[in-house]
Amino acid sequence: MTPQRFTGPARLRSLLNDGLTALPLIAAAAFAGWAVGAEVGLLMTLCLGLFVAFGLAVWRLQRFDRAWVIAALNARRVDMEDSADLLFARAEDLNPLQALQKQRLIERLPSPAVLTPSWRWKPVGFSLAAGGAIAALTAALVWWPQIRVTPDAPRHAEAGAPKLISAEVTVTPPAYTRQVAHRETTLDLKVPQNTRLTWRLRFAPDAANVRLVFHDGQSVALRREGNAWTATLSAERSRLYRLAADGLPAQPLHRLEVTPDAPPKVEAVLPDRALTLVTPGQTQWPLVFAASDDYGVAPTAELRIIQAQGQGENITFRERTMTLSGIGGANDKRFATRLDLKSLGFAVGDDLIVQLTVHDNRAPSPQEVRSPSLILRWPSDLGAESTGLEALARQTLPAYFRSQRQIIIDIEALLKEKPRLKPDTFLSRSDSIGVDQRLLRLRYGQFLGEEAEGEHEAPPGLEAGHSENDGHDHGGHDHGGQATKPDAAPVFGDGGNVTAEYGHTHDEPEAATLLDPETRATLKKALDEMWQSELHLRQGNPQTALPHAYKALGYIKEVQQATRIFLSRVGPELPPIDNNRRMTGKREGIAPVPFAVTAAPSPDAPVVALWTALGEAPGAKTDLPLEALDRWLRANEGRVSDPLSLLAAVEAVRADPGCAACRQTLRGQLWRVLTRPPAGVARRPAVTASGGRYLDALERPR
Amino acid sequence: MTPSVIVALMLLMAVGLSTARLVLWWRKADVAERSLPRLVILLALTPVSALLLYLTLFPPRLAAAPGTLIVATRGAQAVDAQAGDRVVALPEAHVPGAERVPDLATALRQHAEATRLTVVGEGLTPRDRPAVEGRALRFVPSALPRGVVRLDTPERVAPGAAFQIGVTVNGVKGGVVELLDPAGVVVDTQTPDASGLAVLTGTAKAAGPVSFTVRVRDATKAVVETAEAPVWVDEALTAQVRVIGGAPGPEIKYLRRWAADAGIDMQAQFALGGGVAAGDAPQPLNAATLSQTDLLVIDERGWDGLGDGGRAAVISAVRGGMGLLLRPTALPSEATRAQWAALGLRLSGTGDPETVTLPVPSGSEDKAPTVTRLNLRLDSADAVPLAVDNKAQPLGLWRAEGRGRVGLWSVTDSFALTLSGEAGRHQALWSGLFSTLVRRSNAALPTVTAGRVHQRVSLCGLSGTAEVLDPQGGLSHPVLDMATGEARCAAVWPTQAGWHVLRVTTSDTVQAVPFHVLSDKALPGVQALEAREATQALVADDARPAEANGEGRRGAAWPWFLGWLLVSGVLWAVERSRRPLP
Repeated sequence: MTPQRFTGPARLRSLLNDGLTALPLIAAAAFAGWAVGAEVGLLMTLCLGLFVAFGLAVWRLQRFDRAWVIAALNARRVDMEDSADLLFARAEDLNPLQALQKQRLIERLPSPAVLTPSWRWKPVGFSLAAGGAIAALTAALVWWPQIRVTPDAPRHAEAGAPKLISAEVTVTPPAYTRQVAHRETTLDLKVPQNTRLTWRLRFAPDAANVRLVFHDGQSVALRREGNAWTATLSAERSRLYRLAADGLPAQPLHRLEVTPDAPPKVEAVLPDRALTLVTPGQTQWPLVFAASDDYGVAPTAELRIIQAQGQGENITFRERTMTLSGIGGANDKRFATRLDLKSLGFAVGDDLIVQLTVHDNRAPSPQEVRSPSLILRWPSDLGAESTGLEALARQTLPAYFRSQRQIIIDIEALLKEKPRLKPDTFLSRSDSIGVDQRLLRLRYGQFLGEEAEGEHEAPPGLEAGHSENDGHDHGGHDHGGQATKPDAAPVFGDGGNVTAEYGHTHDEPEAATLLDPETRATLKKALDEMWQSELHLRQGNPQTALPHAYKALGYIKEVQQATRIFLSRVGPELPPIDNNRRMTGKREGIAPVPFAVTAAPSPDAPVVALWTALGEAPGAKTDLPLEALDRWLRANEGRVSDPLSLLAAVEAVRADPGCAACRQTLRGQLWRVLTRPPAGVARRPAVTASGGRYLDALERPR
Repeated sequence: MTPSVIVALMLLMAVGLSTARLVLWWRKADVAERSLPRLVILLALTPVSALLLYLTLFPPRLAAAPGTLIVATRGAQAVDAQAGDRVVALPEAHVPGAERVPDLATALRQHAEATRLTVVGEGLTPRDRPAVEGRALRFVPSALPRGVVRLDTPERVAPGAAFQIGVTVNGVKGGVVELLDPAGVVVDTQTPDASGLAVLTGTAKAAGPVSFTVRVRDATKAVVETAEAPVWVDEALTAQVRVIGGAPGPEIKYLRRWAADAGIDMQAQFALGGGVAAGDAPQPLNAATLSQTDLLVIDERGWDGLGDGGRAAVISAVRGGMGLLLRPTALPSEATRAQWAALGLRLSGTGDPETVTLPVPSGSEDKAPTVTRLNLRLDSADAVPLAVDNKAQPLGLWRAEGRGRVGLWSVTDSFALTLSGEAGRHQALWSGLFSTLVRRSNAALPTVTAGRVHQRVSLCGLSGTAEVLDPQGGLSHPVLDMATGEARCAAVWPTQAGWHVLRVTTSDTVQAVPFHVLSDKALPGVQALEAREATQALVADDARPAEANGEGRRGAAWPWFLGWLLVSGVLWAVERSRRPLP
């Protein structure tokens, strides 16, 4: 016989009773907890309530032990004859009489249900009532202000000025930043640009006309939502703001710092230099770009390929675009491709220029960044050009005319070919050699002052050799022609004709002073022979022209061996000034030009003024020109690197002009803004009496 | 006849009388009453008692051998005192067991027997230095504290000008010294040389007091000390500058632009010849106008055009204090060179333009700017370079001529600095040139010694009514010490740290001289070095030993009194016991 037989059902019933009693109370507490502290409160009160209830119940169960069973049996059942304790005694300890009595009791033993406590509804009812009361009270306390929101409701609490009791800012960055929306409990914020901010403020006692006042004067009114005041706006630029409300004491300034989206960065990983030369046998051009951005790089990028074909001035460009997909994380991507040179038609002398355009994921308008251009060059003559030579200096071209020797060679070659040629062709080729001969004759003829003829004839109205003001007047002497036509553009590369252009002899053909008479005579003979040679060539008689050509060559050789021609170099050596003629011209009307220089206005006079006022120089006046600085700052906000800090320092001083640390901070901020004025003159200190005597003594005649 | 001698004679007489009376009594007394031991005791104790009474009245002098007075000053550690030495601690010292004295003069009065003084610790404060007068002094300095031991701030800074702050640090090997501007930005970093000296360069921006900060970091970049370096930026001063040239040019154009912006009153005139002039309205050149001019800038053509009379007037004006800057734009004529040589500035050479590079601060990454100078050899017996290039060759020279200064400047295109984005350098160059050569200011400013709170700050050269404004705006009127005579000095003992202004008002001018007063806790290293150097100077000045002076201090009298009481008691008892009680 064990007491458990009786205690088990009793315990169960007691537990159920207690549980029924506790349940409404726990529910009410959990409700109160949820009302005050949302999910966290609910969980906390629920756990706490269950724990306490369970502890109490377990404690209450402990009374159902052996003693309780004996006592209860004795009390309830007369037929137990006050000897129920024998039931649970060990058989060995009993004397025969007791054993007999025990036997009798066992026979009369009632069912365990006798001892089971009855259902107790009264405490359950009480606890239901109490739970209901708690719930109602909680609801009243927490939601009462909300319930009483009616147009005529705002009835200010009588207890003094309102006070900010809770502040919460919901920060919702733009979706493209992939930053999660979160709540901040501080009012100083640093958020990405275009973040949506929702303030949710509570005041106790409640305030009216709550608004956010920004440092630039803008004011945003908050709406009442339940018992809180909210406002939503988009953060576009960094600003300072403070809370304001009717009756609210002055609040400190808060920073709203906006970090703009940075444009993506692109760099070429391969090739690692801007200009690459094709290696022999290269068929592909591998390209790798790395792109990074603060919030995300667009998954695709455009590769612009420009192919430059051709040489000299005849270059054609072909442009095409390729879309590349990036690999890698959202913020760092690599764009790689291999260009097939053959399919692009890349050939000798071509340049291939590529540039990658990368976007970031900013919405609504992505930012676009282009990589540096990469060039693949297939030089026209591989090997001759060194890699470092990107710009070639080209020498001036030689004058294109044939020498007398070349003319002879050409004539002889023509004569050799004569049998095979048609008469027309022969004539035309002979004529072309004649043209060459003429050009050569003209060139040599210039040395003799023969000047131009033929196509160099001046137009009838411009017989005078020079234009009016070319700085080279001749005072009436007349040329037969002119050295260079005034309007004839100099032929590019005409390096051999310098003598004709600048050597310009002002003489009669017969009296050209550039050459001595013998040379001139020889040259004249050569020219005569050239005339003859040209004449016969033009008439299609190269055979007869050939002896004259030979003679002309002989004379030219003679001339070359004769005195050389020297031309004076025209350089920076100016002619000496003739002091007798100097300053003898008319000087009326030459008046000194006043060139007044006015000092540039200081760009930051209000800053200097405030700096000086904050200087705490002994005996200086103390009123601070803060308003002027405000105006200056509004106009020059771009010049200040950190306007928010400066504004905050100004506000701190304005709030408490006596605060030494605030003034020091403001001075430090102003120092950053101050521009360095031009260094002036530091006057030397006055001479002392002894110093003056010393200096005077130095000057005394030695 | 001193009191002690009189007392001694009286006591001697009393002992004599007493002895005689005892002997007489011995003779007269009955044999039965005669007790020889008693007589011997009485005879012996009487002079002893007299002697003890004398010593009670005049206790013997202490430490008959002249001991050393050891004076512990601030920073004194354990004092090594020997027998006969006395250790006193001045208020700044914390030496356990030492006798505390309010100042050294008091200690010397209390220990007048001390002829030798040993000072241990950092050294004597200004309060105690005069008290050493005439005593042999030995000085055992304690180690200097780690950190800044000397801080030299500029006296006068013009707005926009660069200034130097000299810092000497102690015990910071491999460290750096940084200069922070009021915004807390490091503007200069220097590594101290072997002696611990570093020169930091800063820039003044606007007039008024400005507080820079010197920060010392050790080799591990840990901050050793942060000290305030107060600088007072004066209001920009104006100067009358006259420019005479042969032709206008970009050099003068940019010089005028700088002068106008820097508040310099510049008047430029160019005689182009034939009566044609350019520039500002021409002014006559004579002694009267030149006396109003602070600086005359002239090129070789302008110099030629002055004529003999004009040149004499210019030279005489220079001797009277005007500055003169000779600015050759080409090789001057033989005659001009001879005239300039007479002013002490000889030049020779071809006069061809050559490019020189200006020096850049060590460690600077910037490309060194170049200017063109004339290839002239500048030569002078007693001249100082106006500026140097990166090879330390002078670009110009100046020398004193009478009360004024004459300079020679060989650079012809410093304006190129402005065009290449180095406008600040151009301004600094010309600011340095003009500041060197410009006429001295007329009125001598009063001089003020640097000081600390509660220390004497002497103000000299007070030509009028002086008043000192303290940082709180309080006003004090220092009284002129007539004993200083021509120097006209007064002194104040400031009670507040910070900028003070000495204002001297005369009938027609008001001069204001700012001076900074350090707090007594500021810059302990500087204070220590100053005390050490001043004390060492006293050692060097007063090496002769002082003669033993006067009488030493007497010892305590009470042991003698006790002895006398005892002996007298014994005497009384023995005396009473010779006669039986009736």
